[in-house]
Amino acid sequence: MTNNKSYYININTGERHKDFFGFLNSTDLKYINPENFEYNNLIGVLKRCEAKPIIGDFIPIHKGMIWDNLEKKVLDPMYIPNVFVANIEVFLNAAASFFEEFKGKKIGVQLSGGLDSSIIIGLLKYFQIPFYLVGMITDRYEFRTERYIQEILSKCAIESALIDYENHLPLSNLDEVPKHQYPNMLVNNYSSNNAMALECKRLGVKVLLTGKGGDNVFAEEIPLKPEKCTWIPQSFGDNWLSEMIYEPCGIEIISFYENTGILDSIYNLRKGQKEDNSKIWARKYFKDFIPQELVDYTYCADFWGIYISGLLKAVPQIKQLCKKAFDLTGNNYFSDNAIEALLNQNLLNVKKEMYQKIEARIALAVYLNSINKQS
Amino acid sequence: MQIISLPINFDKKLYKLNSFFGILLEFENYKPNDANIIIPEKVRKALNYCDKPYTLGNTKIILDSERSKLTNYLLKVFLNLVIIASIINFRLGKFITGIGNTTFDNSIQAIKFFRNNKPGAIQNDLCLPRSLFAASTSNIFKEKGVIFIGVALPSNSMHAWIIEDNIQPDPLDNMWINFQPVAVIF
Repeated sequence: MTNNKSYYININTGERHKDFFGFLNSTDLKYINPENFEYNNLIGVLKRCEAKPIIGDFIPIHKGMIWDNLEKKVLDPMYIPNVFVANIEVFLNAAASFFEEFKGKKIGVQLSGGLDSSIIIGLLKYFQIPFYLVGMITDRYEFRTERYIQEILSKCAIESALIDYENHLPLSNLDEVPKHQYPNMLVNNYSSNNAMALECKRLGVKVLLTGKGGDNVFAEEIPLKPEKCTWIPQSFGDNWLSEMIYEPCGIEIISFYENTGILDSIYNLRKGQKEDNSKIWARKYFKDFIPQELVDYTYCADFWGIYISGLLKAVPQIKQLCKKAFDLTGNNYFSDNAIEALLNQNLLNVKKEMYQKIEARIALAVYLNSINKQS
Repeated sequence: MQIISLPINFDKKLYKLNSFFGILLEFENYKPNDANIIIPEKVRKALNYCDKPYTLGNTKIILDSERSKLTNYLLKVFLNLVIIASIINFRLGKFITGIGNTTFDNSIQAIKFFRNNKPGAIQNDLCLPRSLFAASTSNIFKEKGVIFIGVALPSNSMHAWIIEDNIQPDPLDNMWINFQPVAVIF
């Protein structure tokens, strides 16, 4: 069974819930498994079909995923591209068909200042389709090249809304995260996405295009045989952000690179290419659509600084959320001692594994607080 | 080689490199006396390239010049000496570069030699000795090169890289862009 909205399934009994809140009301929150949540975070989105249950024996089945009732396991199918001779005309036809789907609706693009969203903006300009731009901007030193591109491209839109990232750092306003059915790591980016959704609403934007998945389609090695392709386009978009933040504002958030016409074209154009982490091919191929700086240079800012600042600022709130989570569950994972030990590590160290564990604990505490707050 | 500290104000704190130990110091409510810092033209230009990376030239493909086996052996010995000295003490590492011989035409060749003679897995930890080695063996560094020591605030992560003759000569270094200069060596 395929699905468009997330649902929740018991991996042992096959019991299925679309509305998980009903189940949550009848269960004891002590049946949560924080270690599994940490594990799921460590394996990442591309292996989400191997995720372990966090609440009882239930796991979420997101858009595009399939529950195999016979084998009692989740499938997250990889896309098998159609093979044909591709060139720039073919790609442009695919892009035109994609944009045609939104005719009559105000289109927005998430403006990050990176390559993937710049290509979408370049294509909209080429087709003379009016568009709006919404994005996060910061004065931080490491974002100077992104800022430069944001400033160039913001002039191409009917109107651009660049929101100060410093007011919406990761892990900000965690107590405002809406009630959600199942723990999700994306709560940590709630504030910036909520700010962008509100700006889209103000601008009347109905469809917000993102460059998510650009890293997969432009950087990964492309096998000669389409059945060996490892793209999981349904994982490019962020279901939680869509369902919890953008849809309530009347906005569809869609990844341009999730579209099958676009995927087919890029597959056939890049077929047989090796891994290309700097996306040299895409920079050269789309050189007529993007600022020359993105063609000639491969700079890419990292988000460590902005993430560490967000965490340091959020520490008092995180402690409060964990305290409440401990009261609700009695689980020592949220005890004062455990949280002190977690936050007393050197948070200025750029260590991914340490941060993944901290993020998981915060996201779980936010979840428990959210369901308790409004139930 | 000289070192100049370039204090950074970030989030109501001042960050400064200790030029003896090479460690980053953090001060609260401290006002630096910027007026005393005299920045030479060569350094000012290189700083401008760091601040505006899209003005940098692309790393040219330069053929390596022929060297004897003995020269290559001596370069490897010197390379290891720079690494050991840099680990022992920041200033010692800087001092040892004074005995280097300008064997390479530029830092592109010198960095390529350094990378070819140490495993890729440890190269991220060798950014300072790699930069010092290139600075002391590049023929044009003295006239046109600057070593930058940068910090990715607010983390305590640091990095060293070179700007020489309007280019960043290490094509495999894609992280320098995330570090703000806190000191220069030239």
